[in-house]
Order: sequence, then C-alpha cells, then structure tokens
Amino acid sequence: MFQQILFTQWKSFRMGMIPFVIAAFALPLLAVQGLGPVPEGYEGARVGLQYLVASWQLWLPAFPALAVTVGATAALNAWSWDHKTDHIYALSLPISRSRYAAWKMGAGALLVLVPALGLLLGAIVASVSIDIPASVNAYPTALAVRFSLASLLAYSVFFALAAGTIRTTVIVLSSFMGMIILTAIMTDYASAVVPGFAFDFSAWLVESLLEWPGPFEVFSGNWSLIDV
Amino acid sequence: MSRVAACIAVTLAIVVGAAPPSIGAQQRSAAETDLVRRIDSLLSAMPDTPDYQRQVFLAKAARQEEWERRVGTRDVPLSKVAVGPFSVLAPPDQMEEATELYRRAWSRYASSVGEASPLLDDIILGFQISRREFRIRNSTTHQSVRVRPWTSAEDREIRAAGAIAMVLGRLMPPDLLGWSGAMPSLGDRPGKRPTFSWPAFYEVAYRGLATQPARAASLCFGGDLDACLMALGLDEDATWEDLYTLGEIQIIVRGVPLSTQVQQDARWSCLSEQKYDACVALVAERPGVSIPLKSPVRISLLLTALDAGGDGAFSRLISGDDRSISERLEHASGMGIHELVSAWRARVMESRPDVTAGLPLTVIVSLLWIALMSFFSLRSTRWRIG
Repeated sequence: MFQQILFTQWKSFRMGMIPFVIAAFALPLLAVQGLGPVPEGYEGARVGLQYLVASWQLWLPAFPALAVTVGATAALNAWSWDHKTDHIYALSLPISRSRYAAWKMGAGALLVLVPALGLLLGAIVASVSIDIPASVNAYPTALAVRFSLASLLAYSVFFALAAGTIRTTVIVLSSFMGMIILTAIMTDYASAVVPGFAFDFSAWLVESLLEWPGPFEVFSGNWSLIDV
Repeated sequence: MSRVAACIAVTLAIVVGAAPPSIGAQQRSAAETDLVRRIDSLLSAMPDTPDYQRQVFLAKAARQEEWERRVGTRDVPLSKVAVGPFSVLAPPDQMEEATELYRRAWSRYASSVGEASPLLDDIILGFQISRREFRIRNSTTHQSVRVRPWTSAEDREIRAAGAIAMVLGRLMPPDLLGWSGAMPSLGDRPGKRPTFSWPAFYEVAYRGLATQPARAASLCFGGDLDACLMALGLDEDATWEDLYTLGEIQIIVRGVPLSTQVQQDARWSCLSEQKYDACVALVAERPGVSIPLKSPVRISLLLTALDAGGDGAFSRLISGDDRSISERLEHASGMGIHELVSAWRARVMESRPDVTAGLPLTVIVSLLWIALMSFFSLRSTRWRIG
C-alpha cells in the first residue's frame, strides 16, 4: 500500500520537483560563481574568501526560502487529489484514515529529501570547485542536513494544515493569529497600566519560535557552506 | 494723564527690576566662558597622562552637572551609595539592585585595577529601571545602566560590567585606547546574543585570524609570532608588503571613497596596472588599515595581558607616560612581548568556534516538532470537523 501511495505522489509531483532539484543543486554553485581555483603561487585564497563570504550573504536567504517552498509544495501536492475528489478515495481504501495519512506523510517526506540530496551534491561540487584557505573548512553535509530539516519541518506543518478541509485550516490559522494579536494587545496594555507587570509578548513569541527549542530554530541557525 | 504716567512707571519698574539679574547672569556666563577658554588653552600644554585624562573627564561632567542644576533638569529623587571605589546613583527603590549589580561587576575588575582604584574615587555610576522615560540624565553620572523592567537579569549584569569597562577605558592613555578600541567588558557571555565579553573575544579573534585577508594574519595563523606582532600593530618596522599582498590591499582600495582626480588615478594604477605603491598611497591615511587585525582581536591580546598579569595588571598597564603599547603590555603581563603573543595565539587557537556544535540538538528538536505535527495530521479527520 505504501509503495502505491509513494508511486501516486511521485507521479503527481515528479514534474514539479524537477525545478526544485535543479534550484537546490544550483544554489551553492551560484553562491560561489566566479571563484575558481587560485593559480599556483598566487597568495589569493583569503582574497577569494572575502568575495565568497559577500556572495554567500547575498544568496543566503534563498536557502531557507527554497526549503519552505519545497516542503509546502510537497505537502499541498500530497493532499491535492483528496481535496479534488472530496476525500472519497481514502474512504474506498481498506485501511484506517490515520494509517492512510501516515503513509501519505511518509511518502511525501521521502520525496522532500530528493531536492535535499540535490543540494548536498551541489554543495559538494561548490566546495571542491573553489580554493579556500587552510584556516577555514567546507561544511556541505551540515548545510544539507539543515536544508533537509527545514524542508521536512515546513512539509509537516503544511501537511498538518492541509490534512483537514480548507474551512478547518482557515479556522485554525485565524484562531492562532487572533490569539497572537489579542495577547500582544492585552500584554502591552497591562504592561502600561499594571504596576510591576512588564511583558513584551511579541519579542517573547519571536524568540520562542526562532531560538532553541522553538520549532523554527533550524531556520535561524548557521547556513554557511564555508566557515572556520 | 496721571493714570497713564502710573502705568508707564509700573511698566518701567518691572522692566528695570527684571533686567539686572538677567544681565548679571549673562555677564557671569561670559566671564565664566572666558575663564574656561583660558584654562582649556593651558590644559593643552599639560602631559597626556591617565591622571590628566581623569581630570578632564571629571571637569566635563562637573560642568555639565552645574549647567543642569542651573536650568533645573534634575527632577528625580535619587540616592547615592558607595560601591567599591565608585558612587552609585539610583532611585531609592532601585538602590538595592543597583548596589548588588555594581558590586558583582566591580568584583570582576577589582584585583586587576589594583593600585589604580583611587583614580576612580569620584566616579558616579547610575542605574535606573524605567518602562518609558529615563529621568536620570546621562550627564549627572559618568556612566549609567538604564534598563527596561523586562530586561533580563543576565543582560543587566552584562551592562553593569560594561559600564565599569567604559569608565576604565577612559583612564587608559589615548594611544593605548586608540590601539585597542575599548577596555574589554569582563561580563559573562549572555549566550544567545553575541557581545564583546570575555570568552567571546577569543572566538572573534580566531575568526579574525583565520579569515582576515592580510598576509601577516595568515602567517600568524600558521604560527609566525613576528607576523603576529605585525598583524597586531606592535611592530613599528613592519612594511606594507609585510602586512598585505597586492590582492589583499586591492580589496581595501575597492572600498575607499574617491573625492579627487589624484585618488581616481591612484585607484586606476592600483587596480588596473597592479602598482602596489599606488594602492598604499590610497589606503595609507585610512584609519585602522595599518593594523590588519581589528579591534576585537587586539582586545583579546589585552585580555591575555591582564589575565597573565593578575593583581594590579590594569594599574601597571596605564602607568608611565612614555611607554609604547608593547611596553605597556609587557609591563601589565610581566612577560616579554613574544612570550605574551605566543600565549595569546595559543589561547586563540584553542578557541576555534565549533560551527556544527548545535546541529545535533537542532536535529533532535526539529524531529520532535515534526513528530508533533505528524500527530496532528493523523488525528485530523475530514468527516469530524469539516
């Protein structure tokens, strides 16, 4: 059954995945473009490093953005046929919905790893194509692991949202947003009028989401290919 | 008619009566200004010693305080208590925390400052917690920590240590302060945000040594102590060729703003004709270029010297008028400059940041969040909610 679900998703997603794989492979190469090996006897590795750092900073936001796009697309693709056919397909199968959803999620997660593999290959090729000083190192595996986690995290969030109906998703998202806005207003007001009470909810929320052990900590970490 | 005359008389009386204090104030102000100008002209002839710096520093603060007293801006009730050699100024209800914060912060510096402590006798440190407006004026203290109620205890500690570092920095001779850029703050590392605190300096120094595009820095990274001295700006005989390769100095040239035709010609010669002298002509007057390793790296050497010197190291660092920076560091640390730089380099090399240190934890936490999201997905039912 899992193989069939995997095959179904592969069939519907493979064409859409091609640009993602190409982008994931090409991103590290684009970030180091023009920085070929330093000629023999030319003390220029550290000069090249300066340009590399500047170029990497320029391309840096594209890595997490691509990871989110890959994850979101795979998640929405996983449920698209169910939404189109009003979830009749799942009812026709001789398995429980939770098992169906689990296999569907596993199949999608495997597909998400394909662009991550592309990024790993691209990062390795980029690392060996440039001459870096002995004082720094290339970290293609760490970059690929971070990209995989970010993709899978985005995939799992969007998969959970897409698992219900559009109405359910809208209700859940609206409730969350409403709670956040309401809490921010209330804590700000309380901080202003209640003596001894002070709480910056917005700063707390951002910190909780982006710093360890928040769910999106992987996005705020070190995405460098070359580091000390 | 008599009523008009009475009105004129009253008006004149008011004007005449009001005028003298104002005119008097202006006259006093002019006389005072003249005196200050004369004293300032004499001060320039005095030697540039730490004591002189301290006197100038105190005089400026006193002058500002006097001005504020006259215009009536000190409008908040404050208490003052002694902490170490300092006086701490804070609102009465915050004095306990202020005292404790500065006491702990001073304990980090006390042994190093040693005999120089009396130089800090008249220094006033401020502390205030406020949600909105801070009412203690900066000018009524020599250094202040002003925090919000939600500022963490850790950040308050760091800022108190930083305030004392700022005060100590003002006692440093100008050439030493210019070289290091600041007196390092000995506060603990706050963890999440990078700050110029003790352990972080060595990590920053490692990055500088490993990546700075300068020949001297590369050689220093490889273990050449003479190159370290050049890269740190401690070898007066170092030439530009010792410091930078052509490619490296061209990086600096690319960032130089051009304002004259001569500069544009020099840039062309440097970048297109590969003339090293033209590059030097463009960058020679740029601040900081002649010392390849930047301020945080140099501060880490200062830290090593203070650490090695132990008790009274800061006091020895700032003592004496005619010492070079190398001599000051030797005097503070009690080591020869080569020995000191060797110890510094060893410590920097040990402080290589572990770039992938947090990745395993990130993997675990991310997988847990992914598992949680998966649980929500499996629990969802098209039929129950939708």
